[in-house]
Amino acid sequence: MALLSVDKLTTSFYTRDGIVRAVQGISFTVEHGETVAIVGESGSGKSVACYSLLQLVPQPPGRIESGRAFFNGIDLLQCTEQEVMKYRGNHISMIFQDPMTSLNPYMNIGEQLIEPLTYHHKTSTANALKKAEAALTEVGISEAKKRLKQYPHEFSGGMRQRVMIAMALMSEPELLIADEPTTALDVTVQAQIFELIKAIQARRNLAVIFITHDLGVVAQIADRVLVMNNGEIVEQGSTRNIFNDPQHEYTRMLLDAIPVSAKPEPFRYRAGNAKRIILQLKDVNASYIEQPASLLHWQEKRFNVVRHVSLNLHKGEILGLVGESGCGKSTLAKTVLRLVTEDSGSIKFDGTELTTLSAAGIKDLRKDLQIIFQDPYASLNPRMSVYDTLLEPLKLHNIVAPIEYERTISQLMDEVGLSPRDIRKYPHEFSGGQRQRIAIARALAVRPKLIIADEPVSALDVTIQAQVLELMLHIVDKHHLSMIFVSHDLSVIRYICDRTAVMYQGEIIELGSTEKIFNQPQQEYTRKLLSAIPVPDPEYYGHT
Amino acid sequence: MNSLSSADIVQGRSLWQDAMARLWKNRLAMIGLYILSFMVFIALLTPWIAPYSYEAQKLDMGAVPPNTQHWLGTDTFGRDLLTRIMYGGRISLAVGFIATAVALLIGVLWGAIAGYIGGRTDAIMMRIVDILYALPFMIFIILLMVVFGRSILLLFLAIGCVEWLTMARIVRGQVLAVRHQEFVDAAVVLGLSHWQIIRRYIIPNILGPVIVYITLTIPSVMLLEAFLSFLGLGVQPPQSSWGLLISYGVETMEEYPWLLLFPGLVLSITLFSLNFLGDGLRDALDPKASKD
Repeated sequence: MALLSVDKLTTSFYTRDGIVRAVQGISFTVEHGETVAIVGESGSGKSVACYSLLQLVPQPPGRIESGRAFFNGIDLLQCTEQEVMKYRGNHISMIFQDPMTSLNPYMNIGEQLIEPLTYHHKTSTANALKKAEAALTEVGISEAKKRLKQYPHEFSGGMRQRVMIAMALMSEPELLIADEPTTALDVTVQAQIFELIKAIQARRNLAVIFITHDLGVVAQIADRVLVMNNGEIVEQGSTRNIFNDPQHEYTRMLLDAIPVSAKPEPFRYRAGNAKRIILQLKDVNASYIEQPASLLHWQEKRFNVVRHVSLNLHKGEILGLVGESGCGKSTLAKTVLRLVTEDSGSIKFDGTELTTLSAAGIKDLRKDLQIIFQDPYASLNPRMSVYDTLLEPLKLHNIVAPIEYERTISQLMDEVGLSPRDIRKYPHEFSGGQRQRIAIARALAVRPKLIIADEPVSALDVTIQAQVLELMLHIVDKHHLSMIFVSHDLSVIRYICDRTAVMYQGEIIELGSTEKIFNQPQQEYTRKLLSAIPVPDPEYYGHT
Repeated sequence: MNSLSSADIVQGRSLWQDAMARLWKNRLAMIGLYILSFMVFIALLTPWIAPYSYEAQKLDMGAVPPNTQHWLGTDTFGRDLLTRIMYGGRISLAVGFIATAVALLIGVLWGAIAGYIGGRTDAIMMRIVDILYALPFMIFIILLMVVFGRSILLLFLAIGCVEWLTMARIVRGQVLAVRHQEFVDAAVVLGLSHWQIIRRYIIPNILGPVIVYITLTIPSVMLLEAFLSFLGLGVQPPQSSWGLLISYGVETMEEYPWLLLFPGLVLSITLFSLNFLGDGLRDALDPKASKD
């Protein structure tokens, strides 16, 4: 008998704007010890489906309309809240996406770990703590006894996710639901977490449902795959079959959209104009400043996050800047943009020394130097219509005569693939990908020479990522722009960048053509980064 | 590429134009706006349209219930209640709006500057607010009255000078939250000046809580005025205000209920209208709140 068998589950949300059918009659099974991946883009209903099983969907506005979900022969959907509580965190455990927010900052790790045991099994605190220590050791945290007394802020992101896994394992569950457990983590950490989950799973015959949008992850970890789109399962099958012989059009679209190293596409290398250096950094140092908490002890804490960085950017090329979170790549980008003042060094942009520029000089510079941010939900003013957002730069720098405003704005919209009819709309009326297009249009409006893109596609779904990357390539070529492309995602870098700089602990440790970085990495760290990229090819991981 | 017909080009509108259009469609808010405008209109015209004089007493008549000569009745001195409510409205509305405007002006500027600059400037500015908070309000007002003498204008200023403290705190907190969003950095990179950024990027995004706070401040200021007047620091008889009329009405509630009923009703209607208008404005200024 299958461990979990879901039959025609339907969940809807009753909102002011109408009924949203998030999950529409899906059926699937999970066997003991099996790993099933549910893949889909944001809004496909993959999380809602799993949350419905444990009645974790807020009701109202949500409502589980119909369906059955047998777990060990008991229909979870017919259970009362009290009965379902016996399963939550006990027979069925969950791990969430963001390890930064899913632990209680005011409780030490030990107290949080023993809670499922003392609650569900009435285990004594001493015994529970012993088990907690064992669980921490199992997830690879050394000095477990000492660590139990520490608070979440004393752990790094990867460590916290390990703690979450330890917590999920405490009550010896039969099913683990992991909702995008590594999306917030760096690739190298992600690889370790997968290894860990696989090892534990084999040891305990644990079934795992893996919710993810990343096909690379799927290939690496799943036995079987369910592809979800618009609340329905459009295709399911073994990982190998899904990758090698996708039946449904949507599955093929997902697979095509991956900008990856596994795809035998040639490396992109447009030499740029090596004689014309548009940006030159020499021995730049910059710090991240933490504000003091008390007026009486006014001592700013400075963290030197960019160290001795020197690099040249040629006109017309896209330079990738890759590294893990905290390596200083965003601070470096902000230093070039004059959002952060450097501690020392020289930054020359198109012949002008930026570090000694006056306020008026900086305003002129703004016209030539633009940025595209990571989060398209935070980078547009929610109280400004698209028209006003795009009008701002035109007006400020007198790019065109006032009579040309409307025409120019419509052209910009056209260029980034949006309808000029939508210019009166506000940002929230657009999807994530469309908003990123608006941000690109805003950057283009001043007709810049250099655009710095800070993780511009990290917040987008894969199919949207591919489209936005295409657009960026197009505008770089069309307007003869130069671009610095900051990312933690090597497959994106591989797809778009001509040259790549690898950053580690504030320093650029390797710089060369993207092809050379990928095929002949010189540094140990670069090799580690490359080997950690999930490859969307099940053969690579030896699945059968 | 240049295939854009004129139909494709849609004229953009500012947030304020959009907000007005949205407010116009909110019936409750519009009713509030009409009632408030009516009140203000009456208050302005009172000296010319009031049926009686606010101080003319008819002691022999005393308090009579509403009748055809005195629509809302008279008080114990035989003064026409309608007239006194109209004159009282002049004082109460003026206190409510002017004191709140003073609080708004100082509070928003102070809070926005502290939050925007941040760092040590913020710390010092907010400690100043804390110190002013700690000063006993009554002593502050009495001192002002002693030094500058009693005047209505001073009363407005004094109340405004106290109410801005909370406003500054609310605004500063909101600004801190907005300040570090990426769209502010994007505005810096576009080359906007700090003042432009505060005006066009920060303030529109903090208006929601500010408007709600305004609709709470106006009534509390009106009641504060009644309290100060009761202590002899505010409006003096024979002049009156809604707050004073109500507190007088409470004393005589059992014999002459209309002396409480009518001023209370007028104040309640005003406050309801304010709340409806405030909620409407908040929604109208938030593009996410409504679809049109």
